[in-house]
Amino acid sequence: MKGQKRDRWFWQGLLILVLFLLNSSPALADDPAARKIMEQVDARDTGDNRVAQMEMILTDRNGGRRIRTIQTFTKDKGPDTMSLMFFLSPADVNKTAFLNIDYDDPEHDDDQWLYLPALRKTKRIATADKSGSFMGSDLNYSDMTDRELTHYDYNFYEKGREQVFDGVKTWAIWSVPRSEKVIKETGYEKELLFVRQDNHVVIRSISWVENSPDLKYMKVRQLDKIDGIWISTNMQITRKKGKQVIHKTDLALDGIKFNQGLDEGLFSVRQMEKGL
Amino acid sequence: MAMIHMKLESFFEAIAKRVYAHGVLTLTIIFLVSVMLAAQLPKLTMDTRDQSFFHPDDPTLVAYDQFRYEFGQDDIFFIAMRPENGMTPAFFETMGRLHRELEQNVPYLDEVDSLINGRIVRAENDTLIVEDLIPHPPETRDENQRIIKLINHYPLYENFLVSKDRTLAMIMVKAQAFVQPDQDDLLTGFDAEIPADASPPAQYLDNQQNVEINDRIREIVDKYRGRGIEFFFAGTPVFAAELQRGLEKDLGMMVPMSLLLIIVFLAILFRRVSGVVYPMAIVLLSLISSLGLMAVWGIPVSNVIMILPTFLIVVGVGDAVHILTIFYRNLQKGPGLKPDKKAAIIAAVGHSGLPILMTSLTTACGLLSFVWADVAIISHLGYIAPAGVMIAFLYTLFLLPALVAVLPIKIKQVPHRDKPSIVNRMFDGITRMATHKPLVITAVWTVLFLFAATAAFSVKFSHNPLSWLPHDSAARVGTQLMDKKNGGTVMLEIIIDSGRKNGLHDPDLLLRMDQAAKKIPTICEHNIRAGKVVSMVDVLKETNRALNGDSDAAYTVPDTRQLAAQELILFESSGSDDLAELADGTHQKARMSVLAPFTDEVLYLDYVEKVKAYLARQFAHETVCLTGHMSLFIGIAKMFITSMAKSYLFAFVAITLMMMVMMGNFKIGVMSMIANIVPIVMIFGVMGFARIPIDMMTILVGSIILGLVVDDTIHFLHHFTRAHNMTGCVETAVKETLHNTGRALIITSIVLCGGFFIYTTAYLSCYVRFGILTGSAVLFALTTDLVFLPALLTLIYKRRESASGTAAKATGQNKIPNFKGV
Repeated sequence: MKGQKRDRWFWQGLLILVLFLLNSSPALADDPAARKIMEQVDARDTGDNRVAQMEMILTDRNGGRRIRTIQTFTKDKGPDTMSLMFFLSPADVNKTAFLNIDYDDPEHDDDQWLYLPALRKTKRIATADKSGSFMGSDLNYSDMTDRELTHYDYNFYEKGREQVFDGVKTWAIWSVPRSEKVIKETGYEKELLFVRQDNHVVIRSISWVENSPDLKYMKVRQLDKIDGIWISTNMQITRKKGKQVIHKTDLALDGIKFNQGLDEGLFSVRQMEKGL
Repeated sequence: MAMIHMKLESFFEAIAKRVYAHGVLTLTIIFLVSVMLAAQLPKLTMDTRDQSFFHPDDPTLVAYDQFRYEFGQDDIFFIAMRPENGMTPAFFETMGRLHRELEQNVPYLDEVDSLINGRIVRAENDTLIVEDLIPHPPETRDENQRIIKLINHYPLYENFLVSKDRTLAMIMVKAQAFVQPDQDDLLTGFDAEIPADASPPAQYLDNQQNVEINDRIREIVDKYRGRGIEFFFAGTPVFAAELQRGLEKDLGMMVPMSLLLIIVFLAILFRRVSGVVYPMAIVLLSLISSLGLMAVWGIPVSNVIMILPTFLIVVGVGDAVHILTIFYRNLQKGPGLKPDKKAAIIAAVGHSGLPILMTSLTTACGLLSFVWADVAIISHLGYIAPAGVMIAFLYTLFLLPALVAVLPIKIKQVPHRDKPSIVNRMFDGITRMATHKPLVITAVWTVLFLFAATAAFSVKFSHNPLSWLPHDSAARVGTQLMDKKNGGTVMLEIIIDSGRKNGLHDPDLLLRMDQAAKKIPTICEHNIRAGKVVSMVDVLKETNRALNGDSDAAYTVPDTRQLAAQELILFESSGSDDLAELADGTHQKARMSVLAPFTDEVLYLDYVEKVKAYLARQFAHETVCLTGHMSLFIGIAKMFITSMAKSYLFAFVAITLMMMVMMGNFKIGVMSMIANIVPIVMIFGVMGFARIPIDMMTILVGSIILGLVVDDTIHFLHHFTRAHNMTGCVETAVKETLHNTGRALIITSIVLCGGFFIYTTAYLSCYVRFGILTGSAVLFALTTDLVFLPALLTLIYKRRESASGTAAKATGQNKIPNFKGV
């Protein structure tokens, strides 16, 4: 299936998360109605040529906080997505830059580079899978990449296919990976997604972390329509063990602009080393 | 005083009379109470963890829990693998499968670490690669060689994941520090508030969960045996599980054995079915009720509480024996007279009620002294054991007359003996010796006392659970092997607080941490030397090396704070979450884990003091906090000393006061305590000679013995005072006392002694030592009561007699009337 490209960075990838534990759900075969909704989620326009400033707040279980501000640039290139990020603060990591090219072809590993101004060196990063934490946050790399709908089974939540959050109606859909390979790659055994019925944005999700009792709760706290495109400008991802918060990540986007005509040359190691 | 005694006797008689009249009702009430308490038994838990030694609010435990809350577990299940043919591709293949099976099947798992997922940070051209050491088993010799080369290239592995001589490879299974109850409703979990005080939750992994993990690990490992790999187990959780197994084994054996001992003893003593059934019914019901009460109070079965069942059985039966002895004697009285069981039991309870109340109180008081112990499991004994002793007393007082009333009793005629028995002749001999040569006996006792006291000074404190296990136990063999070949099995955790956010980016602090990681393994005290130090410095050095062409010269900490911060971002971005365990989220606090060998926990005190002194110099501008399992050991060692002091002091003062009140005489009270201190000092003398240390169990001996041995003294003095009041002659009073109570004293002492000697069959050696010492102390105390006490009484009363005795003799009062209660 041809993957629809959307804004992959951060929550947008997360919003289309579609998994579920294959081996624990033989009774839950794929439900065409649920799949149809997910196809609508997948087909939604998520914009292109985006510029934004992001604030990432990492909070540990003791309430200790680390705040990072990052300038982000995102552009689609055919079916692939390119992203460039510059750290603005804290001071110790100012000018550190991160470049990511997410290939639509699942066989093609993503390219990731990090520029370390203190060493004046750029390093390509190779990771064995995408389940590792993204920069110490509660997102992993798979949360930010496109999901292949054919890799998952979709079913409605057995305790009620419709759920209402703050007066907003959603569809509650289980997403279960069809293979161990997908579980290993994404780091999630299954997910429960809540899709807004009016605009097909996933506004909440619960993810079961592989080989762990931990759950990750994602909540969109602010959803805005910018240039006709729905985008979450404030979201929170909380990693929990039972009722205990283990870690949480707050993301806020500011100054979002779409269709900025970003040059492909911007998404290069040279630009990364040159700085903003 | 005599008036009070008489009033109390009437009081006990009145109770017996009432109970006898309402036998069925009494039995029903006690049975119902017992059933209610027995219903609580399923709630009983077991706890053999080191944490069980601490009260929940103990600062050492609070700091340890806070640390685990912040950084995760430091308790590790170590599995050492010793391959016959070295580290071959086949070995790595088996290890990989075992590693994954553990990952998938061990409950409450946090993570599994081994060479399989050993962290590799390397550079390949312009690419930084963070990956597992052996993601797939090597298929060729070359690949195998590459892996072995990598193992040598990463200093972090040595003495941690692989032994220095490469004969052992470790798999470390780390459980979650705490288990959280599931979210009640999945959808309410979106609330992400972190409480302001961020206090750690209470549901830390308990003993049962620990045992569950341990059993599952062993089950999985068993499948891999017999393939040219030897397996060994070590680590504090393995230990706790093995102790629990030992405890269950010992409990399973001790309780039936002590019951059997009591049955045999009662059968020989009374030669009657009722003489066995009545006391057994009382002992069993009071044991069940006490354990039920323990469940209600939430007291877990621990290494210390383990002695409770046997203790209550042997001590509890004593009450019934005293009453029954008199009861049967009364029943057989007066040939030709119709036996009256009602009168016999009422008189027996009246006669023995007071002394058994007094002895129960003193025994309870000795045990109560543990309530103030700083060691939590010892203080638990202080709550439940006195309660158990008093339950046994009350059940005896109420159940015995009720049982006599309800059940039929066979009346036996005792053959009349013309010749005095050997025992009586022995008592006569003792009387002569004690009353004719009191000074000699006192002098001999004094010499023995001084001799023992001198030896007692060499007794040392010790807490070494490793030594409790048999030499061939899996945990002992594994621990010794890993301590010798690998870094060790016990963690000391050092938290370095820089005092500010991102303080860990400071290159000077990182350099000092690196120096500390090198220096600490050179610090040695009592043969304790750390084998490994792990911290975030390793991560930075590995990253730095990888960024500089994998050159060993670059295996250093970054030299600017920007570089440190950026390397950490690089490391975090490369998909590893290892940093979360090594530093807090704000990069203010770093954790240094020091792996050291297992030894006597008391010895860690000096070692840690030395490490602490070094750290204070090395990190003068930072706050350094020491915790981890080793700090628990130190806490336990310190608590032993304070617990012992508090408990012994309380027991001595309280029992002395009780003796004075009970005897109604200051002088006699003090004298009786002197007599009872002797056996305790003698026991410490024996410990000094035999180099038996004061440990978790032997620490209990003093207070328990003091509470128990005064019982004999009470019985002795109770009868002696009565006899002396009537005769006015010490020798006659001693003789009569020995004839009346000597036999009972010997019998109850033999039972106590037998009960404690049962512990010599225990699996855990700490109980063996406890049993031998406590049993011996009972024998010392018996000898003291039979020989030394009469000598002391002679010394005191002879002087009075010399003043007033002549007159008494002249009136012929040394002829003893019947004062046996009927």
